[in-house]
Amino acid sequence: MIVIKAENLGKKYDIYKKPSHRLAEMIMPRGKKRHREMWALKGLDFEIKKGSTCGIIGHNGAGKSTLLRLLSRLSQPSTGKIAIKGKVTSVLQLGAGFKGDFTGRANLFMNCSLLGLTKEEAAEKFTEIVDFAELWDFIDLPVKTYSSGMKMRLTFAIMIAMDPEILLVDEVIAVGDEYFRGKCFNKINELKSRGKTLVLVTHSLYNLRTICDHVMLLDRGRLVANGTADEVIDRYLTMVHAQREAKIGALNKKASEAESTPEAADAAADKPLPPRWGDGSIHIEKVRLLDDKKTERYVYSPNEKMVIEAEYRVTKTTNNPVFGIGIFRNDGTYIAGLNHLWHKDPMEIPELTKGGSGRITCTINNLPLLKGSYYISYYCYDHSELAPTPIDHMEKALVFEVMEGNVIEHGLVSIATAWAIKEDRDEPR
Amino acid sequence: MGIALSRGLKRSLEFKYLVTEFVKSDLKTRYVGSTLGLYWSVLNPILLLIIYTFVFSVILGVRFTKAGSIHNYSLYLFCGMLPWIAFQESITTSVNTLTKNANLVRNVVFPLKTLHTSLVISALISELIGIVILLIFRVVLTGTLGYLSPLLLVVVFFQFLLTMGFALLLSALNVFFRDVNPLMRPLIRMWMYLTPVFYPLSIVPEKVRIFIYINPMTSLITAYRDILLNDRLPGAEFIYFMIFSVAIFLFGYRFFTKNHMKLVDLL
Repeated sequence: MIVIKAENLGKKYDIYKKPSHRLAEMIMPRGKKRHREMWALKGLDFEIKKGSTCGIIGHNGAGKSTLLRLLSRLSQPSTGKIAIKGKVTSVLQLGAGFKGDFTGRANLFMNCSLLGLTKEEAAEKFTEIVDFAELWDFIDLPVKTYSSGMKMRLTFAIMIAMDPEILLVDEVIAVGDEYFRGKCFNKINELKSRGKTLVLVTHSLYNLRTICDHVMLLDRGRLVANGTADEVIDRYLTMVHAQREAKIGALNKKASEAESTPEAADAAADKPLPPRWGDGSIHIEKVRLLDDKKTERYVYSPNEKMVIEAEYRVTKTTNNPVFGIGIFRNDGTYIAGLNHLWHKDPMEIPELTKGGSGRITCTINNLPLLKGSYYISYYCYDHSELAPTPIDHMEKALVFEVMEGNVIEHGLVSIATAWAIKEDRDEPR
Repeated sequence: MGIALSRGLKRSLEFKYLVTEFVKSDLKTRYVGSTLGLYWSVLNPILLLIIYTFVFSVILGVRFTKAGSIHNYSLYLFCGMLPWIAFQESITTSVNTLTKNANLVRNVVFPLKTLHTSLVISALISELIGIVILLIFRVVLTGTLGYLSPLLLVVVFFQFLLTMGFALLLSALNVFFRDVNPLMRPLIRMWMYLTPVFYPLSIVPEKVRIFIYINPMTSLITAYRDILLNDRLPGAEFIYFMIFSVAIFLFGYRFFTKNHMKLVDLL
């Protein structure tokens, strides 16, 4: 059975530059239009089945919250229609309607009455709500003394106690601490098992994968994908990668250009360039990242193939140069230092002659990094002496990002593992 | 329209607990943190009446030939002040109630008119306390009972409609044009001086009296004085007041309902 059905759903906001423009339009309805239209949502068609859990993802401003507002009947669609069967409760903002000067108890009753409960009904639910929110110690204190997490707990507990047929939850849950977030999701799971319909907005791909039966991806007001969590998350990640790529690619390009042209260098003079030093007998021209298809790319997923390629030019004949790479997280955490000499299959470069040029590549077959921003420093050192001397040392040669992958992994690095279990038993079964 | 109105009325009744919660919170908010708390709402009008009596009878010595004794002027004034203050307070608090409660209005589905209803009701409750005090003072000062006072219920009903009409209309307009709220201050002050709160109608020159008469608040205040002080039934001007009240209520209600969804989007 379908409980939510949207057809050609759209929401438009009229944007006026100045309040006086609205007044002018109201006085002269046939006069010149002084507003511009902003479509927060356009042409959405979807259905949500009873008892299913639907996740909504998308960038900020993609229209997720607007969609929840339309589904909650807080706002009316500009085009199309929504049909909803059943009582809808929505958790959109924490502490909406709370009065700071009043106690948690007074606000609880006030909120219940806002949701249409009578005093008796509210009193019946009181214990259940405070139990769930675990706020017994604070219920008679003014809400202004509550932390945002406590407000969220109270808001969520009240909404849950309404026993909704359809529950809409915006990202507010993210405010709670780890423990309460877990409790919320357990509760959501319990509602799910009781056949309630849920619509969740979340940025956590983990939650989407574990709870949602299907996921809708919004992008600039359009529904661009609607399907199983895995399908849509793949699509989402591709989209995010492409967008991040454009951004970071441009950043890296800018950095390399700033170096090569004197005008750009002047322009960037007030921003200190990353330090670079060395005697310059070998000059590193350009450092790039290439993916498995040999195309330049700066956004990766964990365990992808990544090739670090550097172009060099030799200005003075050098013996035993060694090229090296430092990988850092954007906060400066040193993750790895790699070079071709200190390697299990060492590669030696006896001599590079003056006037020569070329490319040196370092291939990482399974990039073991997890979600985050990283940078690479590129070095060329002279190892003919015992203590290596710098030839060209380039801090922050480029930046790259690793996006969340399709497997749930936490922490800094991806470690390949194999698991086994062997139970000790007294007697074979 | 009629159906919408009756449905709205039914929905309001369903939310009567919400309105009482709002009223309670509104009354409490005024005196939150004070030692005397809600007693202030009784103490305030008593102090006001004492001040009037002192200023006008002792310092200024104002006498009206019609009203007779000096004490009656303070009663006369107080009797006019009560409905005016209730009206003014309802309007000035309602006009920005939507913008003030934007967070609530934007995020919770509930009948928005409960906000106005509760503000008007809490102002009427304060007024009622004042009326009781007025009647007690009357007994003390003149030794006579205001036996027509139960009739005030009818007056208050139409007063409620009038106030609600303006409250709904202005609060909606204020969302579209935030200038409405600051504009209300001078407007309502001007309106007060066009209403015979401080002066009797009889001192108004014949030529301009018509402007005072078309003001519905004149009829309202006159009705209050007739019933509470003069033991007289309100005259024909009260029929005008009833028609005006119903008309402004319907207009305000309709305007609000029609623009309801636009308002929420704008907040």
